[in-house]
Amino acid sequence: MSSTLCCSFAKNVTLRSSDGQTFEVEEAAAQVSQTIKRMIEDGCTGSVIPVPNLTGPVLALVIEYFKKHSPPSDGCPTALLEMEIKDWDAKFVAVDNDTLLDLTLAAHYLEIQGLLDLTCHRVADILNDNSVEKIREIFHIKNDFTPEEEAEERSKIQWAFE
Amino acid sequence: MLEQLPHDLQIEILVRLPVKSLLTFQCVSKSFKSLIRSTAFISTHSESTINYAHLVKGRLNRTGNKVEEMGVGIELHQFDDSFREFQRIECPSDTKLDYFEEILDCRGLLLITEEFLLRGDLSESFILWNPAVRMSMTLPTPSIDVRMEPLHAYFVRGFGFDPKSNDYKVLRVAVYEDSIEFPPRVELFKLRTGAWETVSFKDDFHYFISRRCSQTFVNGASHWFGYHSRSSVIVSFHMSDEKFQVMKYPNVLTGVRCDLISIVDFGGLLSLVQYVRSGHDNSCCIWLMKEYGVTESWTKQYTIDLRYWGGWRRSFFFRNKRELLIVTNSEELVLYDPETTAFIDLGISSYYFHGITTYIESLVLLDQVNAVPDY
Repeated sequence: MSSTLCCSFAKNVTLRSSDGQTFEVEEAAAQVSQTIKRMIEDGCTGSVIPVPNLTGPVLALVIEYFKKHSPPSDGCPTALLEMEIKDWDAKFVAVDNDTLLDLTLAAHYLEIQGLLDLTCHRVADILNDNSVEKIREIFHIKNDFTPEEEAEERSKIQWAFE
Repeated sequence: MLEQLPHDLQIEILVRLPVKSLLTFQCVSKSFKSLIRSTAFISTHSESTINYAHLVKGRLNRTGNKVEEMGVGIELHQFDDSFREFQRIECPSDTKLDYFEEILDCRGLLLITEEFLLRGDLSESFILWNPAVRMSMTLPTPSIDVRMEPLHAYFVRGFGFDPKSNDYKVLRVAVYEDSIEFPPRVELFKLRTGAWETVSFKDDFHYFISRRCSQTFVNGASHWFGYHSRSSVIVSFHMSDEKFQVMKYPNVLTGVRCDLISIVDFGGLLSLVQYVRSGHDNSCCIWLMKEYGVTESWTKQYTIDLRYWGGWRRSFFFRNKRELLIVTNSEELVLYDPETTAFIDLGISSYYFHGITTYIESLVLLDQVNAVPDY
């Protein structure tokens, strides 16, 4: 954090994951999530905000994202800062595929549009770079076509595989 | 695991993929296949901006013309920075390849109109084609037939998308030549119903639509160069309301000839490219209708000096909501950027090509039972 001064004034909230781990985070940063923002506004935060759809390790990652993407306290973000965040984002989603899908789901549940765009884009890139077989493997998808059915599907659009 | 994601999250991911990848991903699993082929997904995907755009040139073949030696076909140029990459693609198997009359585009689909001889009479056929999925659909025979009528008529066509009914529509207008007494006869094909229906409208519609310029689809409506006695107008047909409308040109353009003007889409705004040649002047002006349907809102934007290129034939679209594509006097395609005032010679000739348009890749037709693979 660039300024310790601002942190000393900032209000914190506590988030609790599905497996009971708790994390303290600045309220302004947590409001990057529309879901959490609504909960804070509705005053139903009490002492701890439950985040039942996320496990501790995933919530910890999401909080990292919150911190990086919390609105700057000193006005408009600069172009340099935006570039730095873009680089950070790219590294943030360069994770194993299961973690990536966990983050995608987290972005969906917590309504974090920026993270949703980032993760969906990353998943789409992985899909685009791989073969049908590889996609099933990476994302644990069961091939429910019979070999005959699959052969027929493929023959119909053979040109697209070339 | 990917299949365990909520449905709308799967869509959120797949909508970011290009058409060709999605076609192959139908083979991943049955649920992938049904999602990709669903009408809702196809529609959402068509709205996304990731899809490649192409410049399409249709080469016609007119008997007794040297063009015949060139063959018939359609060429696609990848609509990227260079325009260089291009491929010649096979036409749908149903095309007769005799007389390409017109190629129109709308939201991922091409409409090819062909004229052909049927028992000694000239008939028209309509084919909806999506080159990105290599599927096409021949429309049923239209019902309006003017061959036995005493007055000579010609046809103009419109092709558009109606977001209200989420449907593609094809318009066919029979215009009675030189006879203001007879209003045009109109029929409309809807992809959803798969049938042509007659469009009725007030009898006091006494405008001609020129056969020399193709439609421009913008703001939900087809627009053509129209005229009435000595004044020129823009005739439009709104695809949702299914109604005609007439708009005036800017005052200084009343009476302008159709070969000196192009109606174009400037990032969703109805606009005009007007060619001016007199004395030393050899240029074109861009006009925007800032508020749709309001004549007073016509605004002259800028002028492009065309002396170097010898002249202008027509213009048809703005790329990136900025660059204008110009067909020069010698049928060369040139891109003009008003910000840098620079021209880019694309090295593509439109010579011998009858229909030039653009199209954006989409999955449209994949969900249509009547659509067939090209080969």
